[in-house]
Amino acid sequence: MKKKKNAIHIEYGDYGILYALLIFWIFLAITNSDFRGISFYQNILTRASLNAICGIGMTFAVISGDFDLSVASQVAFCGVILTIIIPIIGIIPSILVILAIGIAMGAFNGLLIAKLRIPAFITTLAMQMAYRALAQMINSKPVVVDNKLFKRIATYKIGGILPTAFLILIILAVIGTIILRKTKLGRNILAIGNSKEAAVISGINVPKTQILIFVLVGFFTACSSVMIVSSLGSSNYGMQVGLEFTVISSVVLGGTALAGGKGSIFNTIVAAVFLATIRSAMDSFGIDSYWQKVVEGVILVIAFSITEIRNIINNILVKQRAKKQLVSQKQTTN
Amino acid sequence: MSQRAKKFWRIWDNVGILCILLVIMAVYGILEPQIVNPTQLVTALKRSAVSGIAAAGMMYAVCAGGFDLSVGSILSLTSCVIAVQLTSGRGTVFSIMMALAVAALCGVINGILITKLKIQAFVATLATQLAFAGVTLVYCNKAIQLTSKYNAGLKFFSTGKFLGIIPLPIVLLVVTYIISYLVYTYTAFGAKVRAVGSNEQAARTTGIKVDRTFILVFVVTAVSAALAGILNTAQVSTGNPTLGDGFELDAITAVVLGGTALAGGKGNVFGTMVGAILVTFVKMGLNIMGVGEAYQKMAVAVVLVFALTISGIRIIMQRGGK
Repeated sequence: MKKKKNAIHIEYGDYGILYALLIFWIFLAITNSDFRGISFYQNILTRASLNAICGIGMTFAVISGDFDLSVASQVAFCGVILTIIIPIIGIIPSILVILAIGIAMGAFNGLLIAKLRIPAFITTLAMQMAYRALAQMINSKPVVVDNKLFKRIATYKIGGILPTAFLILIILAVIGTIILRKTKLGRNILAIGNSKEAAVISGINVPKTQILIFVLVGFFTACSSVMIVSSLGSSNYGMQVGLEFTVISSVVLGGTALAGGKGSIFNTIVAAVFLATIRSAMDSFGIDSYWQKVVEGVILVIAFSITEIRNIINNILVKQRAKKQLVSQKQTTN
Repeated sequence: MSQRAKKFWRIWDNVGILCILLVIMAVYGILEPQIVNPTQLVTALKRSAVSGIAAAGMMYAVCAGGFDLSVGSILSLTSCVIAVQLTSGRGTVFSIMMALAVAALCGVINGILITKLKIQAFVATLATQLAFAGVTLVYCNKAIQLTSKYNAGLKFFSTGKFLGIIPLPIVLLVVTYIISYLVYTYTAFGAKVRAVGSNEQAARTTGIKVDRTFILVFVVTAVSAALAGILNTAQVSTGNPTLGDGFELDAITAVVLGGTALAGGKGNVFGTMVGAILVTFVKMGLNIMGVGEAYQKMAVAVVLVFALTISGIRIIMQRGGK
């Protein structure tokens, strides 16, 4: 069967964002010498990896037709705890604790959404506030991490070239893709995204799957929190405000349909790199951060409306083609 | 749903939220008697005018089956527009008109994104939240203190008294809700909003111009957020680009708490007002008790989750426990 070959492959073969990224890189490299060194691309990859890890989890949520607006606050909450416990229990135990906390937060979100049947976006909007407030209750001052080894997790470059952050991203992305394409859970998530009613009828346990989706979001968000704290070297309850925008834009820009049912983790990552490139480029062109915010909002709008724009263009093309056919038919009959 | 349950929810719609407010008052009264005295209550009402007026507009959005997450940014934008206009020597009325016009434009943008580009309402307004906040910061990147020279006219809104006794914000709040109630119940617009919210397809088939209704709804939401912004600016005498951060949560909480169905089609005007008062009162009580900002935020989140839980239970009961 041919289908098996495509298992890890993207199902609908849309590499648009990858081409866009490559063209953008070439364009930058031609126009400005700042964008030719390898360190520029290393920075972009590191920067993108931090968000893209969170994007892996978000891809699951968006595929199922939901959203998680609380990821930024989850990152802050995990980050604040992480900086407190690292000096006490060491690096690896604290990372494990953080992952457990991430899973717990995700499970809590999922329970609210699945059991009370409240739309996900409004639940996670409330939790966004709640987790941020919790972080502030635990510690309202910024904390610096002193552990050199921990800081290296996200900043070390293997052989001086490959950033570890990117390597970790790839590993997590492979795990995510396997979950999405190879497991029952992944198929259930796709089914729910296609049609919730159909999923219920075909016997899928929808509430359970929804809870698991948010557990996945929580897990990947916790991973990304570890990476972000490691790269910043500090944490603060007010950190990463607005991360959810970047993460959701990269998922949607990566072609995961907002209506749910299809999507790919690979494209999410490419889109995250694309967004990081835009940001870095804006930084080097000296565009101030307020304008950057506006640009990000506009990109988000474009990403969200891209399916509709495509539909409109398609409709026009189809109409034109029909007209041409009509004309040629008339000519032949004449 | 059984008859008894139906009756329960009907009564709940009318007085449920009021009962919760009374319970909270009683709890506060026991914990800290000074919170529940007439002066404090008047202050609470005055403060709730801001989120209350914004919630009045938000109710229309939710009732139409939409959502507006950008009200916080619109509020900040209004605040900045008014402050910049006043400090550059324009008259109070002109500045207010400017602010309202800018807000209406924001509403139109939201509406067009939702109807013409077919982005889901909450997603579109999530994006515009970011964009409007950016525009606000580009326009005015730090808080502008309004000295009494510029603030004379505007200050009237927050300190003025109607008939010499009733503070103006309370009057504004009540008037807003009376207008909102009349529009919701007696006008074609109100009926259209309900129709669109309960079944968009059916509304379209009946000949309602759904797109136009939607755009109008978002203009209403944006303008009411702007009115709230004007009032808030008057209260704090400052034009602040971050004044409205997180404000959308207060408005949404008030609407959900008030008993407006999240699925659309059914609004509760006065419930929304009581909801707004409740949110403000909870925050203020915690403030007086001297707990930190974090706990107040937490309280709003808890109240929202509580409100969502009630609406969730209601939906589950309506579906017959399935």
